[in-house]
Amino acid sequence: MEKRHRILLIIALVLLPVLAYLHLTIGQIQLSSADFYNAIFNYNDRETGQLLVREFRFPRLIMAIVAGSSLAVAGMLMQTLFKNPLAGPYVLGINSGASLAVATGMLTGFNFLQTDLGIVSLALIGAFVFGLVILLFSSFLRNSVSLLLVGIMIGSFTSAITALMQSISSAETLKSFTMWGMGSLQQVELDQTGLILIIYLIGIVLSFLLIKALNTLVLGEDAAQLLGINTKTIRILIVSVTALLAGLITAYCGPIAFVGLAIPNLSRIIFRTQDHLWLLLANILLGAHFMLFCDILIQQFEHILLIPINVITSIIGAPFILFVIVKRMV
Amino acid sequence: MIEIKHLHIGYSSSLLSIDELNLQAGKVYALIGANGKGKTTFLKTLNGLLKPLSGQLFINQKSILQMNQEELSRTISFVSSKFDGIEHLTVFNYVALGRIPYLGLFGRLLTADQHAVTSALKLVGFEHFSDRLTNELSDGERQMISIARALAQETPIITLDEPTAFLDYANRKKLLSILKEIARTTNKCVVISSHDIELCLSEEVQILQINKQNKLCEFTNGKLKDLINNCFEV
Repeated sequence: MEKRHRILLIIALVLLPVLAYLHLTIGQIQLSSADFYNAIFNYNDRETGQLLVREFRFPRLIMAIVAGSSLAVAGMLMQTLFKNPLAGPYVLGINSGASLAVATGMLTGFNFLQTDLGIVSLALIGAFVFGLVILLFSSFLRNSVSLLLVGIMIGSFTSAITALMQSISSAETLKSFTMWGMGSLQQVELDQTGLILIIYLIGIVLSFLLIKALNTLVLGEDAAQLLGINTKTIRILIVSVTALLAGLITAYCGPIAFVGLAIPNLSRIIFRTQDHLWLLLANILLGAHFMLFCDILIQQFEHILLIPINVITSIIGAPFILFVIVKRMV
Repeated sequence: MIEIKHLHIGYSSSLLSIDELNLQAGKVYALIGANGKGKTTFLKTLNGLLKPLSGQLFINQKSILQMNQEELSRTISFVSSKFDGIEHLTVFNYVALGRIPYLGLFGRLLTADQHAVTSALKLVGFEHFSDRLTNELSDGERQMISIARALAQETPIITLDEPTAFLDYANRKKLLSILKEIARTTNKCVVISSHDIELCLSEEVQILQINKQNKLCEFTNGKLKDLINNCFEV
């Protein structure tokens, strides 16, 4: 079994640079390998090719990898915590919490809240607060379908509040908020990627520290507690890490649906395991693959139309989730 | 091994009380009582999932109130009445979860842990099931591997909540004799809750009764009719 996992992991590892290469090189403007080399080692911002590489292609590549793997890992954490393969940060309203917080910051017009750090902080707080709300509901809602419905209600509620705020905001802020809300990997500049990568790595490292607890949570919370796991602390930790990863991506890329729902299921189907070491590695890699793939598709059509990333992830993700549901029922 | 004095247990009000009770290593105890009388509540209290309302509960001379969850998980294990199996979870990996109290930060199994898992599977006669998937087994098979998981936990006490509830007669009998064998050969104290009164009496396990006055005590008489009269409104 372990041998099979290792082979799959190697394939996934090899596929990542291949997709990254395609992602970097496929674009409306053809760039030479010299442009890429110089953009890294002899950067000259007057050269259009190098500028494109440095200011657009690299940040977009980094964001595709970070967003895909963050959302997939956040989804895996939620699915294991709630023992529900249809859970995810988007479905449970955690992304909506981050969106509402960001909307509040953008549309109320406070200066600090519109800086990078302001928006990220708001998104993380929003995601964490709504994560706690879902956790609270989960403590007395034993039925997993009810919990999903609560998540959907939270999503609808926050969307309504956001819409209300939009209706009273100025045209300019409304425009920037609408652009953010469509979801894009292109809103990030290279100098912002440092902070993003740091938060991302903290989230991933913390996820690795949760592996043992996640493996026991597969049996349910009581069983995990009987195996010596402090489930109260672990629940809060899992929600915090989910909020960190999902909030980060919502802050910089806007709401992106279905990655957190589909990729953890795909990882389980491919790796056929409940060992969260392998599942975590699988989600990191497959999440990145999926987002790179979706963004490559977007790049293919960029010369005729601008498709938000959220649209592509939903077009591919939704039918896959339907397949997972039907497969479970028959 | 387990010493109880003047114990009251329950959620908010006392569901059952125990004046004095000593449970010893090497024996199987079957807890008999009507539905809702507190069999599962008693097992939950033993496992530290529920705090006693009053009184004393000692495990190996140490009060349960002084033991943290980690210490408890190395002292007492619990097998629920039904395990439905989990997609993609192999028997080996399921039994290996019993080793969690002994594993490091990342939960990786060392050679000694792997041996413990293999011998636990051997003890219940399921060593050839290692690579099978838990969601593709029968109820009886799942009950046996759950016992193997508790064995892999290497605790001096094993508790089982109605382990025979979903088994046919032959498997019930087999399970009880395996538990007796485990208690005898590994010197463990095994406590089960059960509705299989006749079987428990015929297998000569120690009977604990919850009587109509909501008191839990040992039943030493050995006669089926008396036990039924003590515990049930018939």
